[in-house]
Amino acid sequence: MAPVFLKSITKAYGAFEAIHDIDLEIEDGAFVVLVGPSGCGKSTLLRMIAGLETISRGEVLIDGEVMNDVPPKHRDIAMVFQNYALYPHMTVAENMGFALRLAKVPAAEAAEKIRTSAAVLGLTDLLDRYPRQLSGGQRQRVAMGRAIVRNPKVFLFDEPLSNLDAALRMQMRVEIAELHQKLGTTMIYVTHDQVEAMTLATKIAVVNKGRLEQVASPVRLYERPQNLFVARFIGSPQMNILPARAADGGGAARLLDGSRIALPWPLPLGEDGELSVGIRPEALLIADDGALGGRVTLAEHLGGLTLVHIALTDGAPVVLQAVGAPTVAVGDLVRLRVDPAGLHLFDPDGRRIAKPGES
Amino acid sequence: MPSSWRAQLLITRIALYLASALIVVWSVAPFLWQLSTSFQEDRLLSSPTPSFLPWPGTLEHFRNIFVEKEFHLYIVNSAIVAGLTTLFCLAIGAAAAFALARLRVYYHFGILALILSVSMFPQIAIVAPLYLAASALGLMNTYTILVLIYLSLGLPLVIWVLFGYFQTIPREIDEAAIIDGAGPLRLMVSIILPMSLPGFVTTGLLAFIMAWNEFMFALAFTSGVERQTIPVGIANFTNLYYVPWGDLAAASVVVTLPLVLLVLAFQRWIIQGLTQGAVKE
Repeated sequence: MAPVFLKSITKAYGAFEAIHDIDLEIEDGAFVVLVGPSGCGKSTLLRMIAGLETISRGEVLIDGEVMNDVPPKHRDIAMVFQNYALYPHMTVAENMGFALRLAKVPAAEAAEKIRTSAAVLGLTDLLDRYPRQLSGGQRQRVAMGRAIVRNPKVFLFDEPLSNLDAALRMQMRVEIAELHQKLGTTMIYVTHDQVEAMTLATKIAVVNKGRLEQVASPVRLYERPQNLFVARFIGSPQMNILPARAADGGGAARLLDGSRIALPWPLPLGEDGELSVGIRPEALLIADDGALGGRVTLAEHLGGLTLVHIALTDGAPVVLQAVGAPTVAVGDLVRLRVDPAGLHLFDPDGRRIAKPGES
Repeated sequence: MPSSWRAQLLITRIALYLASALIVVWSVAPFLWQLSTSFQEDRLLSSPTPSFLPWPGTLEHFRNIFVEKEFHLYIVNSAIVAGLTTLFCLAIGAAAAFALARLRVYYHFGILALILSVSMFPQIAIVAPLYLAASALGLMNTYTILVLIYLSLGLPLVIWVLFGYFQTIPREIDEAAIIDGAGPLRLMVSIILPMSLPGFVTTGLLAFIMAWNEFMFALAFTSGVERQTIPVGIANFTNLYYVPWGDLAAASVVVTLPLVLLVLAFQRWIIQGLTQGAVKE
């Protein structure tokens, strides 16, 4: 167990910078998820912590020690790869014991460690099998077993669930969360799936184009996205973003179709100042006295929830998430009210306009 | 017309079988003819109407080559030369291919092209200079010179094939091993090589066959039965006045057998799917 610090980490390939000056503090025992669209640099960042990529500038500290020039095997880390990367010619037990063998751990002690780790992951009956004889979920579990058997200071996960089907992914997600609770070890986890990030993390770092957009707990990230990128990236279905202008002396936002959303707090903008209005799908409510109007274009029934797709009067699409199954049909004209709790405002540069009381 | 596609299917199938049969006849017939020849008496071999079947049969040619022409000595020489060539080809080739495929080697494609270009030299052009070099070094009529030459002939192929094979192994396997604490040597011996066994068997066989069959260099650099290899030995059978077709056929059958046995023995290693289960494809 150990804290990890990234200090002004930069990764440059010649003149091109893939990672720009990232600072990140990962507390001992935290579960930090690096999330972002593909190609944003999150995997590169993880591989720099692992020692698989060189660090162009800045420092990586694990347990207080600068690791920049320390080879991976001396960093006391373990990594789980997206494609498992098991050794196909070794049994499960041999896969798990490879690191111990290289570290010259006595055979009896190694066997004991393999046994206990296998028990944690439910692999006890599979120890003599070869990877080709295992299912996808079992293989991923072996990859995790190979990591925990070494009792490292930090676990690194590189999109470990991306190759699994949806049902298995949910199950393994739960298992990883339980593993973290059981071991209490610092974990750094890379994914492009914001649902994985929200459900697993104690802290999420949203990465975009090699920069950190925001670092916060899942709830805070959802409730206070610092900019439009985070607002769009976190939350499913996506937040509705509508361009607007300030009206009524800052007391309301006027959308392009002319409708006005009254704001419970005054805008720090002049009359007609540009802004973006973000509305969470669950903050849109069907109500006869609603400020917005539109026509239903599609209703997706998910069982407990329904996603209603609506075109506003100027054609702008929005998605509404309702509990249960509201009685709307395609083509219906509806009025929409906005719940201020799910209302977010952003200035023309995409930065959050803070609500009163927010720091 | 529901039957027309059935007729077409039948025609396709017949054509396929005919083509397969043609290929089998094309490749096996010469060998069968040779086999038949090796069991026929000289009298029949030179008769105006040759027979395909060795009847009446004789083992006289086999007796001739082993008892009178000491053919077993050539076989021993060939086995030593081809065996050593294969061993060194695989050891050096694996190390080179591993370094080129997996370590941070600058200009590795340039190096690969250079290696390939070496094998493009017309062999006849290097016989004379090599002959001078070998005699200056006192290596004439030794196993050493043959193994050295075959090594340089075989290595480009071995390196290229193994390089291609290593490249198919996912990088994450290396990275997992590196994090597990493996250095380059351990990575090669414990991970990459075991995963590449089919590539090894294939290239090993190719190197062995190349050294087993090579004639020109063997003829130029060896001068007695104590070092000459099989192809040179067989060439020695023929003299100015007489071509012993039966003996030639018998010798050819004897030397083809080890190759066939080798391929059969290693067949189970020349299989697909050894890497199955390592990663998600």
